[in-house]
Amino acid sequence: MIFRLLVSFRIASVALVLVALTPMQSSAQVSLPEHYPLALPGPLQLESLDTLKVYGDFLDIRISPTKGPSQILWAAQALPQTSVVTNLTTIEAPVLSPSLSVSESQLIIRAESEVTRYYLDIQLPESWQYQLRVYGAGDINTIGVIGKLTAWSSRGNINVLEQAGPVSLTAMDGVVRVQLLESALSGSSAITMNYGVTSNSALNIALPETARATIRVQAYGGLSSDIPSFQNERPNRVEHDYSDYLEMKLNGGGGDLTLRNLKGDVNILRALPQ
Amino acid sequence: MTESDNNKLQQWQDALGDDVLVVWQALDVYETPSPLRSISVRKPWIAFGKLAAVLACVGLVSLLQWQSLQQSKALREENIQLRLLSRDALVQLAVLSQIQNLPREATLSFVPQLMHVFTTSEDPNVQLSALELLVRLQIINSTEDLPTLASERRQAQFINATYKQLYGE
Repeated sequence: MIFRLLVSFRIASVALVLVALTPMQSSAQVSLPEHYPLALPGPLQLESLDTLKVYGDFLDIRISPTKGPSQILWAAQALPQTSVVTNLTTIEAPVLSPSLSVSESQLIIRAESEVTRYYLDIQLPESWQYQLRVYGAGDINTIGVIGKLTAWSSRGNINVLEQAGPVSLTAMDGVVRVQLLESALSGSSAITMNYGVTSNSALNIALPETARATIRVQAYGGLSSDIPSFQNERPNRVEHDYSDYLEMKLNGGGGDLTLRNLKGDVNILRALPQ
Repeated sequence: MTESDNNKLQQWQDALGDDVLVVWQALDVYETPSPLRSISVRKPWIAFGKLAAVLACVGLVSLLQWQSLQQSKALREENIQLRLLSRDALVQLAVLSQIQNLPREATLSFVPQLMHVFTTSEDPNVQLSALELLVRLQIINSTEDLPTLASERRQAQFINATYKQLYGE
């Protein structure tokens, strides 16, 4: 009994020391939506950077480029931990801020923790490119990105709106919704989605009616579109020994766009005018 | 008829008697053969030389064109290989799309690079595009042919599971 009290006292004092050393956070849960700003490099150094890489385990990311000052806000919530020994008080791990580093022209944020769920709200200059990886679970939401965007989430949804640059998106267990602008289709893009045990979880992608693209589709389900030029054109089914896909050209063809939904339908929708 | 013709006719008449007219008229049916022309004897080696020169020119042009094509092909292959090894996933996606449109024989030359991209890429879409090419080339025919992926564990599991779903066991 005394031994167990001493152990719990030592654990609590270690936790208090960690809390004292760790800036800008509390040892208890951080209640949302209270966010804290990450200390970014100085303006001169920031001007020399053009790519943001984000790595996280349990992480929700929101990106909205800005013409104003850059800022990155973060929030965190300790994930519930259960103690193996039932009569000890559950100690929540202290919440640490995401780490930030610079390498060549890249700004790198690591929010890697198996006991903390992070939230990042990122506002950087419009021309930046983004590489986002969520290894555990979390959603990725972007709006108005002009540069290249590569993102994959192990378990979570990906929503990309008003995307002006090419994309490579993978939701290993989640839903993807994408709106591409005409300029995004000048290069090669690929979107892969895999969600749910049952089918009928659709990959929805909105394209401008006047865009030019060469589209390849692999869908477990069907392919639908409300774009007028597709109403009169039947896609070609290209068959190989082990797999086949549908291929079609939008307005005569252009940049390559590969769409895969391993468990459901693909819907190619006509984007509303901006 | 001229006077000369009359004299000739009289000579023929003296010789042939009543048959002279038949013979004389027959002579008029056929055209007078054109005089013989002298044929200049060409030196055979000049003709042969001209032919050889023409053939040499054609051969030289063909050789230059072939060399140019080979150089273009080598440059294209080098360009493709460099872009395959890019650390930018979207550059890799673009070059994989380009390779998909090449003939099979040309695609076979990129198999080592395709395997490297498939095993090391951190982008699932790049891996799936490379995998599709390797399956199409019949380099990978079953799950047993799948190499060990260097990518993060969950990504590797996803790619392996996707292979089974798209291509069977």
